[in-house]
This record gives sequence, C-alpha cells and structure tokens, in this order.
Amino acid sequence: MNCVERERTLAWIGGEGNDAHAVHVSGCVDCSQLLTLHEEVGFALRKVEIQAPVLVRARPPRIRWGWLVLAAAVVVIGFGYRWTAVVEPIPSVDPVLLDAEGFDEDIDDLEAEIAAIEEDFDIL
Amino acid sequence: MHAVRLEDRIDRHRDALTAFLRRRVGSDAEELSQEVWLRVVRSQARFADEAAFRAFVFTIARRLLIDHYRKHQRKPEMLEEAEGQDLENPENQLVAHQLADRVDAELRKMKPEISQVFRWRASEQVSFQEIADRQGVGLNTALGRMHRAVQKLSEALVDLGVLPPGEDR
Repeated sequence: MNCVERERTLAWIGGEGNDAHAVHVSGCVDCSQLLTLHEEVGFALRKVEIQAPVLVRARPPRIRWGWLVLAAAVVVIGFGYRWTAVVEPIPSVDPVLLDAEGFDEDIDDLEAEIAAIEEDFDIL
Repeated sequence: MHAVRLEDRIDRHRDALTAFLRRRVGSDAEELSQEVWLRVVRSQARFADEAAFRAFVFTIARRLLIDHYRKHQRKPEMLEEAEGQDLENPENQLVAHQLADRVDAELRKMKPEISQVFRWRASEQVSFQEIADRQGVGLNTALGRMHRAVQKLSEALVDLGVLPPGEDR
C-alpha cells in the first residue's frame, strides 16, 4: 500500500521540498523505495542526453484525398450511367390496347343523351 | 552534548558515506559528502538509534545525488575520469549509444503526457508546478506521471542489465 506522503516525497525527490521531509523518507519503507528507484535510474541515465519534448503544433485539417477521389469517381460513374440511360434506345413495349369498342359505344351513348337534351331545350 | 554526539556519529559514518558517493560520482564525492553533513547538521533531527541516523544520512545523500546527476547529465566528460571509463573507447561508445537508443525508444512507447514530464525534467529542469500548468493538470498528476516514467525506464534498464532486478520495479 502506498504511503499517504507519496506525492510529497516525489516532489522532495525532485528537489521541491524541505529537507525535514528526509526524516519521514528515511523511516518509511515505501518512500525509501521511491527514492532508491529514482536515484538508481538517475545514476544509470546520467550520461544519456534526454531530448526536450517535441511539441506538436495544431495542424489545419488534412484533406483526405483518397475519399475525394472516391467521391469524384462515384459522381462520374453516376453521370455516365444517367447519360447512357438517356441515349440508349427505349426498348419497344407493346402498347396497352384500350377497349376501343366499348369506348366508342360510351361516346355514342353520351352523344345520344346530349341530342335528347338539346331536343328538350328546343321544345321548351 | 547533542553536538558532541552528532560529531561522533558523523565520524562513525563518514567513511561509508564517502565510499558510497565515490562509487556514484567519483572525485565529486568529497564535495558532495560535505553538503550531506551540512544538511544533516542543519536539520537538527534527532535519532534514537544508529540505524535510523544512518538511514537519514543516506536518504539525504541519495536525494543530493539525484540533483547531481541532473546537473551533470549533459556533461558526461565530467564523469569519465571519476569512473575510469573512456567514452573514446568504441565499446563504451556503443554501450552508451545502445542505452540512449533504448531510453529514447522507451520514452516513445510511453503516453506523450508521461514522457513529456520526464523529458522536461531531465532536459530543462522544469519545475513540477510549471509542468502541471503546461499540461493543464494538478501537481499530483504531474508527480505521478514522472514516477510512472521513471518506473517504466527502470524496467527497461533491468531488461538491459544496467540495473539489477528489484522487487518493487
């Protein structure tokens, strides 16, 4: 289990704390181990030059050319399909034959009715 | 009376401390040991037994060593003489480069916010509070990230055989 003074010890190890904290560290198993770990790593890396972090600048949004090309291809293919659909000859379809005979009879009936009405008007 | 007893204690542990420091920093050991004893005296801490006093002295010493490594990290030539190592030796150069490459690889493997803390501390000695402000986190988070980075690096150093395996790494 970690010591409650862990953060204070880490700050002290980093040189940000009072020497009085050494009394606690020397008597605390957890904090002593922290100190030993940091000292040993510091010793091992004493000749290694550590580079400062490279800060990544915020870049403008990157254009996704792949998607752009794909979208263009879809548009071209779409137009091509439409064009071929327009210029291709419309396949012949058998016209639906209306019931012309029956239609003529209806017309005849209507004409007869109209004539009868006109006659009635003439009588009046 | 306290001063006399402290002096006796210092005498009892002086050689052990100097030997420990010499293994770490070579010819800088004398100067560093003076600084340790100065801090021990200034602390006015009292210890019932010899073991507690010794632990306190070496705690102060380890803490000062960390400062020393940080200050001299970019000046490896200052440590060459101390350890009898010669970086002109191609073999030593190879080892140094392998270590540097491995450390760099380990830092790249870490989350950026963790490696950033370590890099800022090691390369520019940025304070933890400043790092916390830069990262927009609390001080304890920055401290925890530093420890995490050190822990990861220690694991890599154990794998490389630079550090001996330990229980709590």
